[in-house]
Formats: sequence, structure tokens, C-alpha cells
Amino acid sequence: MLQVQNLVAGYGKVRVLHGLNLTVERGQLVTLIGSNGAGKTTTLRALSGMIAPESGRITLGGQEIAGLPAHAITRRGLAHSPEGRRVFGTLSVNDNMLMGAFPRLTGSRPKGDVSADIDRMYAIFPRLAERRLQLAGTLSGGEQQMLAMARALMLNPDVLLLDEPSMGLAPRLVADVFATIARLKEAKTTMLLVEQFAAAALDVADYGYVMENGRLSAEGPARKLKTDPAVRAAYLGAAH
Amino acid sequence: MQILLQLIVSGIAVGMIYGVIAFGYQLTFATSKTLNFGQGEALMLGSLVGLTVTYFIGYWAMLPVVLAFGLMQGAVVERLGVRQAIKTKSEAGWIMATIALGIIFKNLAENIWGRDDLKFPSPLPEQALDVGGVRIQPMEIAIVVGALALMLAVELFNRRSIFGKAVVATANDRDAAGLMGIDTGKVITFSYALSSMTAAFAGVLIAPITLTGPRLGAVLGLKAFAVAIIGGLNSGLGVIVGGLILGVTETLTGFYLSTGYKDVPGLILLLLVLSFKPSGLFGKKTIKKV
Amino acid sequence: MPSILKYGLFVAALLATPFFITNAYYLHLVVVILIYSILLLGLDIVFGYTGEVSLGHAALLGIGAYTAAILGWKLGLGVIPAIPIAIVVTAGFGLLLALPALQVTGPYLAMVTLAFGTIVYTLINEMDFLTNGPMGITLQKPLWWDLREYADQLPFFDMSTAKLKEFEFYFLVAFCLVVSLVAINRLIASRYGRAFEALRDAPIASDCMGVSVYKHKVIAFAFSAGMAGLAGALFAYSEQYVAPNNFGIELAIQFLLAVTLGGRKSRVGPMLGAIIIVVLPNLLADIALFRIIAGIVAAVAVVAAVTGWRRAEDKTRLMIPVVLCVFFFAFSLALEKITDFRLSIFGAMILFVVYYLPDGIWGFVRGAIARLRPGMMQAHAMIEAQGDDAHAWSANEPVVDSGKPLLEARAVLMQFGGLKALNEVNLAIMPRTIHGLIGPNGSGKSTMMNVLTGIYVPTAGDILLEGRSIVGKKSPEIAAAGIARTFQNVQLFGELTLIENVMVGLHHTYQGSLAEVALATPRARREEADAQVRAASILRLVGLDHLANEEARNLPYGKQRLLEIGRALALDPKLLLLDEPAAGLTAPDIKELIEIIRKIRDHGVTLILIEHHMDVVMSLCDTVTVLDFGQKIAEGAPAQVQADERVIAAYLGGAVQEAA
Repeated sequence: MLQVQNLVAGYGKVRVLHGLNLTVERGQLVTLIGSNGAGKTTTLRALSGMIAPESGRITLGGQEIAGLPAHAITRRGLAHSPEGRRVFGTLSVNDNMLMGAFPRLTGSRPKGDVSADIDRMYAIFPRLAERRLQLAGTLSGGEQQMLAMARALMLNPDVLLLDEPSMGLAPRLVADVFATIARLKEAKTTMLLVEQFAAAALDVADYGYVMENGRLSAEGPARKLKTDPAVRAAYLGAAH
Repeated sequence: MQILLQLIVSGIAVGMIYGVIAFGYQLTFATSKTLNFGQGEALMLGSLVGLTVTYFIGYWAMLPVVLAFGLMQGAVVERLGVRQAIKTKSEAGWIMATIALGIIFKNLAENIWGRDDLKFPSPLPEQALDVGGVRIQPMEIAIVVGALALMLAVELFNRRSIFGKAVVATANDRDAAGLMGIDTGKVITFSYALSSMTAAFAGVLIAPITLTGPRLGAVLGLKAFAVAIIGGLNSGLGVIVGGLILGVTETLTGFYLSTGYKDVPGLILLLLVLSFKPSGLFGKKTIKKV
Repeated sequence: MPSILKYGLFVAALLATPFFITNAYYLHLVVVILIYSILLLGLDIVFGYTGEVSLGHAALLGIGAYTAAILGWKLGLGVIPAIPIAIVVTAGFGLLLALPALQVTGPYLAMVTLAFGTIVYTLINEMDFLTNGPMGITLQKPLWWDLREYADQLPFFDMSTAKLKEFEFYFLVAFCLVVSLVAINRLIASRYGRAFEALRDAPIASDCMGVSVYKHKVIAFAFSAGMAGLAGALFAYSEQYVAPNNFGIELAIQFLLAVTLGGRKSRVGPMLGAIIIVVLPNLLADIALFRIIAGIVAAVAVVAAVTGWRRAEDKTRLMIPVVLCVFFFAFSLALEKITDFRLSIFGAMILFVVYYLPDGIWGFVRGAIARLRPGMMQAHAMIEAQGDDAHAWSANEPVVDSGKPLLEARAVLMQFGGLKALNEVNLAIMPRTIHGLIGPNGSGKSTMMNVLTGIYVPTAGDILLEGRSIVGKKSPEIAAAGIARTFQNVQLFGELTLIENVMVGLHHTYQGSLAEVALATPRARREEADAQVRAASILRLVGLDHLANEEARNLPYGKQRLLEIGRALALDPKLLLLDEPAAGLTAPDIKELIEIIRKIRDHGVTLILIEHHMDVVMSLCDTVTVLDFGQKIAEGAPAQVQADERVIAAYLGGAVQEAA
């Protein structure tokens, strides 16, 4: 569904990604793990057009999308729930959801039944249903994360990019987030998940990539990576 | 007492005009963190175009034409002056470019309409109403009603329509709005169009009680900026209150001190607010990110 | 070219000019160019170096001019005493203008200066008793003091009526320009010049290096205003008449155009700009000449486009300016009365410069020469000082281990809205140790750094450095007290070279005042030379000495982080906070980093280390504190923390048990 070849990207003259290759198959949950500063978030930003890649190919369902602006990529079916949630604070929860469906409501993607989809989201995230008319800026961190995910899903995306959905959440909420991701996977949502909680991410994922310094250092089926001592070392350090 | 009331009433009408122009600053600042330094010239052009169009089709039929003209003029400013600078993140770039466009518009106006002040025919009777000894011109009432109606209309558009919500989303977080499939470049162009439209509308509102001419804009633009700062660049209510404060202070200064000093208190107020409460009297403070 | 030779040539050219230009009208134009040059060089400090758009410089020129004129009108004082008074008065107004300017930047500041300009304009117009209102003031050119009224009492004092001839006045102006040039060159090459650029590129980092953004903006404004005052006094005597209309907003915009078009951050640029804005109106007065020039510009554009056509990647982007130039030529032919469109042409020029010459003519020339002959045109002064191991470290006595904590945080609470980013955290950092601060993203580590360095003021709790509370102190004060830091998102001064970046950190080692810098006293020179050696030594320590004269923004990411550490070390800190120094570094870089951090510790500096690379933390730290969700969940020796169940859970997520 999503294929990346030799992706090179960065900020200004500073290059962060040095030739990245990865693939996400339809219906698959792929996770990208690695330490801070490895380039995970930059990868997602390059995929969704938030930054323009220097070179390399990115195809979404066979269509080349590298170099397109973010809104054009979204309209082609790639949703990105960005790092730090980035909900629209002065819009209500309901309006945030509508924004997620913007391409559907304005005719650049098949419309379907938007209000039914909103109801479906409220079923998945009952906390949001209670607060549908509240301004998103007044939600707690965990609720905002739910909203960011729901908003991205409102696109009915072909591929969903999730950037650190667990960031800054209390442990109980982290478990909730992962439970939700597992449910989305069951519903055959194609996802690329960036996570700092490597073990938890590998638990739910089908396939994993490990990143170090802008390059992939390991990849394989999630189950295998999880028992790989190299992955564990990258996080907690080898015992001295 | 009578005189004081009279001065306040006159101040309110002028203040509402400042408020509307300041509202226009807020529109572009919200979406793009930029402002049109030629906002006063947008107002001036609106009033002069309005004057010419009124001559052919009358005041009321002229209004939609001027609004459309304002939209177009704003889009031109954004396209020529601002877009490139936003891309290259050059603050000096857009400041100078919008100043330059303002100069060009003013110069064009001088060549088309001449340098002298022109009388703008009032659509309402010029006979003042007497309310408890205070004289109120019908046009002054029209200004207050018109200004409030315009701000309300824009506000309703932003709250109710999907495109308006897209504007609010862009104002909240431009990158995230892009991820929603919103073409934020277009939203910014639109906000400039809307901003110039409000200025043009303010131009045809105020022209009947003052005079119009190529020099109408500059000082109005600056004072409206003072209002935007006093009220806070992110506070809708603030510009109305700020406009009223400034309008009333001005008529009072003009009467009790000298008309020559009329422009001074507002600007000093601007400097004071920026010195001691830069986010404005009604603005929200933002947390700096490191 | 050595600078002495450059000065010599320039002075020779100035001296020779009146012998070639004997026509009084043209000589007067040259005088105006020189006067504007003084003002524009001053404006460049604010506009080019600190990066703020000032629309108030026409008003400042007016203040200088009116000071001179009023002194002449009311007191009969001549040009020589008027100059220093005008400088001081105008610099005072510059301070006044800087007051609101301290709080704001960018568009706000531009509007503030615009408001300032309007107020000054209004006051000059209205205060008849002092300024003679719109009528203006006419004045002569006496040298010292016009005392003819008292001629009877002072028969011997005949100097009073000595007046300057146009010719002599020219030399007075030329002398002022040369003095200004020297002063500005010294200022820019000094720590003040570096501070101006530092506060533009990264204000927060600048504050955290002890270089107060506040103070240096005031200095920049006051200095710039003083230059405007000098120019104003000369302007008044050059025109022999001042009126409010001479100092309108339009002139302020012309000044900005001049600096941008000539080229910011240079000496040549503003002077080129001065020539252009003085000559241009004269050019525009003659339509035949204007058509010829427009024709030449169009022809050059077409030729350039044709030759560059093959290489151009984006052909439409290339076409636009060419079409515009040709259109402009056609416009000039169609035009009948040029003066009507003077302002439009002027506006079009500003747009053109903003789009196609953002670095100005001089910037363009410099770039072109640098491409053809690299090394010939240096945007920065080359600093050749050689460093050694001994000079990398402070001469101060290192902190002794007293057994008491160097830094203590007591129940620090930091609340943003409803969110408690730090929830009553206690920390005790023992001297000469490396204290690790770890935790998942968003757990509050960086917030802690910001609280410790005064960027945030904690909602509650206390922070003690060597027993003294630092809560509520501003970042520069905390830096001066001995806390230095690096940033998670690297915040270097991008347009300064590596060695200059480090020298900003050495700001605190200077004692010499602004005046000493301008006069280049022995002490000022010695301090600068010492700082250069130390900066070079520090660069050597972090392994960047071979790149000393590169601009920081061109460094790869990993090296930028090392440079930040070097810059922080220059502060001679007691406590150094490193925020994720290893993020984005390659494995060999990390090894080098670990070595550097050890050296720093061995020289008596205490460190707090935020890091995600666990092997770095484990191999370096004496104590580790773990934050999660704004709370301290564990503290102790690395091995102990590493084995802590709660820490593992916080790091790998709840599901870790099965994995282990």
C-alpha cells in the first residue's frame, strides 16, 4: 500500500534521513522504533508532506506522492496523527472530527456517511462522546490523543500514520491507546506506528523496523524483533 | 456634561471604524502571523472605488461591488507581497512588500482620483437626530450597525460553515490543518481577501462623515493597528473595546487639547500597552516553546 | 585586502572628490549622500544585525536636525557644539523608542517605530514655540557660537561669525563619516556585534549565554539613534533649513529600501544604498534618462535570461523578472509625466528587491565573487587564533566538594493550565558529579531544564544554587550565577561562525565598555585577543577547531550539538545542563562525546545529563533520576535504576514482563 525507496530528507542543510526503504502492506500494522533523534518523526513528516523530501520515491497505492504538499497527500488517502497531538484547541471535539473529514465534505474524497462515521468514532472513544461540544483545548492529554486518532480516522484513510500516540500519557491511558490500536488493526486499518515503547509496539505490530541515526538498523516480523537482544540494548543499554 | 456625551457619541462611531479595520488585521494574523501594512490603503481604495461606483448605481447597490473589489485587492496583496515571504520565512520581506504595495496603491489612487480630498455623498439624511440634547448623525448609527453586522457575519461564517472551520483550524495550527487536507495557502489568501474586504467596507462607511482621498488610509491603518494591539491580536471582543477607547480618547483630546494632537494619545497608548502588556489588554499570553 | 589599505583608499577618494566635483549642486548631492550614509550605517545595526524593521529612523534624523536647528535658532550655537548635543539627545530618544521595543519583535516593533515616527512628526508640527511649526527653521553655518548680539561686550571674540563654506562643510561631513565607519567596524567586530546577531538568531539561547537580549537591543537602538542624530545635525546645516515634511514616513521607507537594496550587514551596502536613494529622484526627474536606464535594465535582463536559459531548472520562475523588466521599459515609454508615478516606481523597486535581491546589490556581488574565486570575499572576519589544551578551561578555582548539594530543587511544581508538567519534584545535584535525568518523552525533563535556567518560573517550590535561591531570576542572571545549558532542539547562532558562537559564550570575560571598544583601547584589544585564544582552545576540545571560521548553520547536526557544548563551556559554568547531547549522533560521535563529557567533569564542572541513549547514561552518570509523568519515580546509582521494575515499565510500556 505504502512504499518508500531511498528516502532522503531533513531540515534546511541538515540531513536527517539517509536513504530509507520501507513497505507497509494493505491491512498491515507496521511499527517504526528507535531512540530519540533517530529520525522516526522526520520519516512520518516526509511521508505526509509536512517537509519536502530531498530525493527518493514514495508511492501510495501505486501513486507517486513524494514532493506533493501535505493537503494533496491527505486527499489521496494518507492520514497522519502527528507528534504532540496537535488538535485544534478552539474548535469543539465534534468540529475537530469534521476537520478530519474535510476532504470528504468538500468533494475531494468519496463522501460516504460522515455523521455515521462520527458516531462510530464515539463508539470507539466513548470519552469523546461525553465531550463532543467541549473545546478541544480543554481536554486532558489522553483525551486529546484519542481525538487526534479519531480525527485522522475520519478521513477513511488508506494508510494511517501514528506518531507516538503514547507520549505524555499516564500508564493506564497508554494501555488504552494500545488497546485501541489493536482494535483498529482487527478492523484491517493499514497503519504505520512510531513508538518509543518498543515492546508494547512490537506486541501489536505485524512487522517492525528499527531506526538509528537516520538509517534502518534492523527489520523483521514483530515477534522476532521483540526477542532480539539488539533491540532491547538500543533502549535500556547493555548491562555493564 | 452635554458636551462630554456628545464627544463620546462621536467617538463611538470613529471607534467602530477602527475596530473593523483592526478586526481585519486579526483575520490575517490568525492564519499566517502576518499583517498587511497597507491595510489603510485597502480602506482608501475601497472608499474611492465606492465613490466612483456610487456615482453610477447609488450607495446601496455599490456595497456588494466594493466588497467584491476588496476581496480581490486583498488576494492580490497576499499573492504579490506575502506568499513568497512566508515561504522563505522572511519577516522583513513581507513587511516591506506590503508597505511597497501600499505605496503603489496610494500612488495609483493619486493618479486616478487626484490628490485632493473628495466629498462622499451620504446615503442617509445629513440632518442630525436629537436624542436628549445629544446630536447623532444617522450615518453614525449606520456605521455602528454596519461594523457590528460585518464582524458578526464573518464570525458566523467561521463558526458555522465547513470552510470557516477550516480557517479556524488553520489559525490554530497550520501544519495540522494541512494534514486534514486543507490547502492552507488558499486559506491565507482568503483571509487576506476577507481582511481587505472589511477594510474596503470600513472605507465606504466612514467616507460619508469625513472626506475621502488618497491620504485617507495611512493614519487610519496605523491607529487601527494600535487598536488591534490594545485589544489583543487574538481577541475578537478586544478590538471593539479597543476601538471605542481610542475613538473616545481622540474626540476628547481633539476638543479639550487641540485637534492637531488628536492622533497622539492613541499612539502613546499603543506604546504603553506594548511596553507593559504586549499581548494586549484582552489577549491571551502564549507559552514560549524551547 | 588589508583593512588599512581599504581605509586609505576610501579616505583618499573622499579627499579627492571636491576637486573633481566643483559644481556646487553636485557637491551638495555628495554631501547628502555622505550624511545619509552615516544614518544608514546606523540603521543597518538595527535592521541588518539585530534583524528588526525600524520605520522610525526618519523621525530620529528629524530629532537630530531639530536639535541642531533649535540650538542655532534659540541659542546661536554653531555646528561644532551642535553635533555632540544632537547625538546625545537623539540617542536618548532612541532609548525611549527601545523601551516598548524591548518587549516585542517583528511586525509589532515595525509598527511601534511607525507610531513613534508619527508622534514625532505630529509634535514637530504642533509645538510651534519650540519648532516654529510647519514653517520650519532656517539656519546659518556658524562654526562655534554666534555671539554677534554681544559683540560690544566681547570685541576680541571674533571667531563667532566664522562660517563654513560649502567646501569646508564637505570635509566636516567626510570626517564624521570616516569616524562613524571606524566606530561601527569596531563595534561590529566586538562582542557587541556578536551579541546583536546572537539575539536575532536565537534570543533564548542568547539570554542563556548571559548575553541579555534586553540590554543589547537597547544598546543597538541607542547607538543607531546616535548615528541618526549625527546625520540629523549635519543634515540641518547642509540644507540650512529644517521643516517637518523633510522627515515623513516616506523617508523612513526609503531608508529601509536603501539598506536592503545596497546590502545588509556590510559597510559598502548602506553607502551604495545612500547613493541610490539620493541619485534616484534626480534620475526620475528626467524622463529621457529614465527611459534609457529602463531600456538598459530590460536588455540586460533579456541577455541574462538567454544565456542562463539552458541551466535554469524552473523556466517560468526565470521568465517572470524578465517579462517584468521588459514591461517596465514599455511602461517608461508610455509614460508622459514621470513625477506622477515616482512613488509607484519606488514601490516596484522595493518589491523587486524583496523578491530577487534579498541580499542586496552588495550581497549579490559578494556571492558572485565568492563563487568565482572562493576565499576572496569573506563575509566574516577570519579569526586565526590557535588554541591549546591549557586555555580551554576557566582560570577560576573549581567548585570544591563540600558534601552539600551544588543545586537543590525543592518540591518544584510547574503547571501549564491544568497540566502539571512537574509535580513537586525534588532534586539534589552533588558537586563534581554527573547526574542523569531520564524518563519517557513528555515526562517533564526538558521542562525541568527550562525551570532551572529561568525560562519558566515555577508555579511553586524553590531552587537553590549553592544555597541561594534562583527562583524568579532572569536567564542572563542565572547564566552569570554559573548555570549553562544546551538545547534539545539545537539553538545556535546560525549566521555567526563557530568561533564567534563560542565567543558569545565568553561575553562575561570582557570588562571593557562600549566606549573602550569604539576607541580600541589596549584593554579592549587584549580582552578580544584573549577571548579568541580561549574560543579556539574550546573548539579544539570539542574537536571543531578545523571549522572555526565556518558559519554554524552549515554544520551537520551532530557537530552542531558539540558546538553547543563548547559554547556553554565558554560560560565557565559551575553546573552544565546537557539536553539530549547524543540525539542524532553516530556511534563514533557518541564515543567522542562521552570522552568530552568526562573531561568536563574532571575539570570540576558538575553536569546534569538528559539522554535517551541508555549506554551513554549508564557509562557516565554517578546518579540517575527517573521522571515519569512529571513525577520522580526512581533515583539512585545507574545499575540500581536500570533494574527498577517501575523504570522498566515506564520505558518499555506495560507489556515488558513477557518480553524480558
